[in-house]
Amino acid sequence: MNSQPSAPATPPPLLRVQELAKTYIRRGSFTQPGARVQAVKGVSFSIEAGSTLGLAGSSGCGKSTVARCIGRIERPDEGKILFDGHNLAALSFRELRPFRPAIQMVFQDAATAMNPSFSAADIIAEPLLIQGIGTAEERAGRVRQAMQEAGLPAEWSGRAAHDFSGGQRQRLTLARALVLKPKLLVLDEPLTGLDVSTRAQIANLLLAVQAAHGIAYLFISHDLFLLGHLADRIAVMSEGQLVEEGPTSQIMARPQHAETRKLLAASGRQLAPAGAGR
Amino acid sequence: MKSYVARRLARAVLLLFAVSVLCFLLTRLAPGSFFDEIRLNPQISPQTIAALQARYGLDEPLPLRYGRWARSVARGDFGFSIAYNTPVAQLMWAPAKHTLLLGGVAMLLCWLISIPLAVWSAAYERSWFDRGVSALTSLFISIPEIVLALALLAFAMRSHALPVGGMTSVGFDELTAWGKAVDIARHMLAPVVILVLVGTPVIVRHLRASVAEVLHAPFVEAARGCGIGGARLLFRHVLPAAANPAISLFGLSLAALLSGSLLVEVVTGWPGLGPLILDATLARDLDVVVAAAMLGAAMMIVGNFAADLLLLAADPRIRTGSPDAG
Amino acid sequence: MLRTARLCLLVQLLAIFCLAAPSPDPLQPKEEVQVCKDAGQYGGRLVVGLRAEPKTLNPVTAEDAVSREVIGGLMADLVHINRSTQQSEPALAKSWKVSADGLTYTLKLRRGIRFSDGQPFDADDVIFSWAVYTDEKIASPQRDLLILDGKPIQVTKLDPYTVRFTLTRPYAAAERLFDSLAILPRHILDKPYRNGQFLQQWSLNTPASQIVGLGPFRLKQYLPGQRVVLERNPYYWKADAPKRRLPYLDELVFVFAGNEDARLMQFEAGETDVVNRLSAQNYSLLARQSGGLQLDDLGPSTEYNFLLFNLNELNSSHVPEIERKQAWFRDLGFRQAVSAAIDRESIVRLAYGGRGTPLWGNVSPGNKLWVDASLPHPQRSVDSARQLLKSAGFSWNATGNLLDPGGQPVEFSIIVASSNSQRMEMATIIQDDLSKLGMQVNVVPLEFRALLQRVFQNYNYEATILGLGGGDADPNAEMNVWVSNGSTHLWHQGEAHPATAWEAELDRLMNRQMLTLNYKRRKRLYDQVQQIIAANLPMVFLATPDVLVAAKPGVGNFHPAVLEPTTLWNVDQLYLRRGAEMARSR
Repeated sequence: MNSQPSAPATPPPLLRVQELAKTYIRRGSFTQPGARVQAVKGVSFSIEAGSTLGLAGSSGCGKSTVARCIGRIERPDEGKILFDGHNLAALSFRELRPFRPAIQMVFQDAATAMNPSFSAADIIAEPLLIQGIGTAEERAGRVRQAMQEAGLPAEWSGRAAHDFSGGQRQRLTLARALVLKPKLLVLDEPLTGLDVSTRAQIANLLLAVQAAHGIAYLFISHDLFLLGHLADRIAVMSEGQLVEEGPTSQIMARPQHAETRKLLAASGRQLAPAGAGR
Repeated sequence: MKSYVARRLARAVLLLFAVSVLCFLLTRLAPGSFFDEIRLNPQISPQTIAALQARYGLDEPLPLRYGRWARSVARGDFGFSIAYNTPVAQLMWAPAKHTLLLGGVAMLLCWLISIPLAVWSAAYERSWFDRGVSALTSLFISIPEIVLALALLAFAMRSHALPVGGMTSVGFDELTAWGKAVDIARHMLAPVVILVLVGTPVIVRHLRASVAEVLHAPFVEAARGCGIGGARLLFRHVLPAAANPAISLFGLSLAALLSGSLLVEVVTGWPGLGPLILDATLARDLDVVVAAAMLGAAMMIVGNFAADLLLLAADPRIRTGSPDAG
Repeated sequence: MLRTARLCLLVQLLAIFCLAAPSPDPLQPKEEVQVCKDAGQYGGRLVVGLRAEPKTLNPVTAEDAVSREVIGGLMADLVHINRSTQQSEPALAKSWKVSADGLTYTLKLRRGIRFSDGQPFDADDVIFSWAVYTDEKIASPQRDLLILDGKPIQVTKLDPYTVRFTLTRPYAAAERLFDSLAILPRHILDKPYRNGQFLQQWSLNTPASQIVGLGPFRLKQYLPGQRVVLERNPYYWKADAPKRRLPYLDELVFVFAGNEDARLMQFEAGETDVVNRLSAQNYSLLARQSGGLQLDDLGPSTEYNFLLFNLNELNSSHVPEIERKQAWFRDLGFRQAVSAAIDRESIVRLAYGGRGTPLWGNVSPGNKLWVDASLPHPQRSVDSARQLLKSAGFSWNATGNLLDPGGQPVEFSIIVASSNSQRMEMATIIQDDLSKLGMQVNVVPLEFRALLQRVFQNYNYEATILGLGGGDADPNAEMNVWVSNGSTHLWHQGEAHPATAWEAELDRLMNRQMLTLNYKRRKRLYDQVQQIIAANLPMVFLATPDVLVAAKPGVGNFHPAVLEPTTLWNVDQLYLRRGAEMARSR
């Protein structure tokens, strides 16, 4: 809400989210109607091309719903998602297809985010197939390239997803996301559940990829400390609303909202990812 | 792979042996014997009955009888039916074929009906179609098959639309090939409908649940996020992933091929194993009963084995034998 | 070639009858056929429902009623009991002579008649059959009939068409023994018999052409679990009034249905032509239908159902409880009281739907030649039952419970075959009736063979309800029930000596009637037997069901009889009226 368009001199942001709202209907029974749960209530922010916005909040605050709305796994009830001047919120599943390559998602649990019966190459190539990109050979080349970028040996392409370790799986989902050469990557808690050294490796990888391709990140995490190392700006959510937004240094140094302070205190107790920083 | 099959085979043999000993003992513990009923005939002397019992070895101690039975299994006779005075294998061959025909057709129909129903109702979760399917399956699961059977028989009798019992009409041999097929189909209709009505809801429910679960799985959402939707999502991503429970279920229905229809056969008069086993049980023609139990156990093993092989083929996670490499 | 020719013929015949049964061989001048009084029409197929499938087609080893019923269509005997008149009459033996001392029976065989494969029949077949039936190693269920005092009845061939049977002692109505003893084809079975293969002969898997007999039909096809198809024996030795060779039917088909309701459904659906052993309930169901069905209530059957108390000698391994109660059961006054208190009319009304007859003795009125009509039929009376109990030393406590002379309450259990709904019904009626005497009766349903094991083997029961009879009407068939060392002496098995004076008298009378050749004198002896049994009540007789049968309107010469096989005893003369058959074949 406190995020206003920047001065006219600067180029328009890559993504602008305006007054996003989403309500779920919890499954009822024959006698009780389903209860309405408002997960996101009027959230607005924007992301500049090539920059990282960290979206912080404790679990259940609605940050994942925001991610899913932007990735258009969910359709928002209200609000706009302006991407390159198009309102994605208003498009149908079919109309969205041309925009899919530009926005890709990486999920927290890489193991469940991939089809268990597919090989690594199939997983990475599937988005290309959907988009009808390239010949089989070209696709194979892009798969190899994406794997390389994600730090996976190309000769592992025949392996099944479950043969990879936790960190490797996350690299695999990253490769899947990168293969379409997206402009925006929505990362929903991508480091949670990994051990400390792996977290550092993946975090470094993300930074390297961003540096190489100029991809913008919407990085969602409950770990404010981690975001402090990774994000250019940080937005804090609580109970479906944005409570604070600003440059990272400002948020980290002078948190205004109680929620921010709470998150900061909680993540401060955790070990900082070694070597992750700018 | 070879050692896996060998291991499974060895376990199956062991299991069958245990089942055979148990069946043999339990059936012999049941009160009464085959020759009890002719004792009521005042014109047959106890000496004659004793001679008959001795002929079939009913007067011998149990271990001896088990040994003799095991030898006859090894010969491929699977015991000796006192009632029919013939090896059990010979006796059970024709009815087993009939049961297999009935069970096979019913199973095929069950799956042909279940898969689209389950996938549709999972894909359109909470639609009127889904609710309708759910209500119907609940209904048919809660109705005992015997009630269905009797209702259908009553209909067959009242309407004269269906033959009552049997597998072929009396004039079967004079029919053309097509006429024969129609005749068998008409006789099969009642038992098949019952088996399908009983079998389909269970499969639909399981399949629907597993498809619905996969539809909510993160990887499917991820796929959606990649823009994969519609038929491609369903057939390439969802169904293969939802196949595992279906394959296990398929193994179970394979296992039930010879034993699942017994009651329905008795009620509808289908000349399969059902009536034979019932008669044999009541008459204490024990080798037939044991053979039937063994057949059921063997089918269970075969069904499970087939399901495992299919799973192996369908799911790479099982193939390598390592559930998680991370 | 032959096949295609036959097929062409078949197609032509399809419009009329769709059967390819052999046509009857013309009668030959030297053939001594039996000529029957009836007349009918050739052709058609009669379908009969059986309650199970036959187990074997070997007449020597068959022991179950269903197998015997099918075999009845395939085989013939020397002397036959007419099921309608219950008298013996000539069959393969055109006549017989009994010597004055009753020890030799000389049978004249029909000349020129042939087996169903066209081979001639003569005395050698009879000698061979006799050897097989009396062979100890074969242990035929029919063998015991042919053994008198431990020695088999001897047979000698006097000439190719005369045989003589020699008995060691007189045996009343010995010619009835020949009934249902199928004469076997020596030319087919002699070799396997000598090779010790006889028991494996004529199973259901035997090719049809190898099963050869003298009956009106021969095997055409057996479909496991479905049906047995018999076709006309073209050489059958009977002819009808216009001197045409019987049988009329092209085919006789037996289909199987596990229970009576299924058989009824098949009949109602038009899939079978004849249905027998109907329950009263199903009979009245059919009676309500239109369509001119031939429904017959043939009156009381020869079966008798009874309440049986355990009077066996129990050894110490048994439950002492039963031994204690046997003191009551052995008391004639107690049994008489029970008998007096039982409402037999209710049993007939409730268990048999009114289609039955109460019994006070062991011979049912269905057995026309042997029933003692003078046997008293006392009215049901709870008062006289109480009187009987009182004089036997029983008393009642304040709540009305009956106490035995030792002051113990009278309570016992009746085990009943759970599969037999009529007997279950009887048991509950008896339970109710005896409660009016202050007796506490429990009804315990048991699976039939489990029940039989208790009755015959370990005597672990207090009382039961069983039924006997239904075989031959002659008293000799009942010998082993009434003589004290008989195998079916149910109430007291394995008695070395008669336990009571009246049982000794029963032994004497039964053995005497067996030696008595004159019917009237035999009847007097058997009447005495019936009176002694009715007076001493080793069994409390209850009731007999009526024999209820039905046939399609088109079945001609349908004259069902009380004796088994009720509807098919004259199957060689049954025919299908042309119009009816046309209607059925749609």
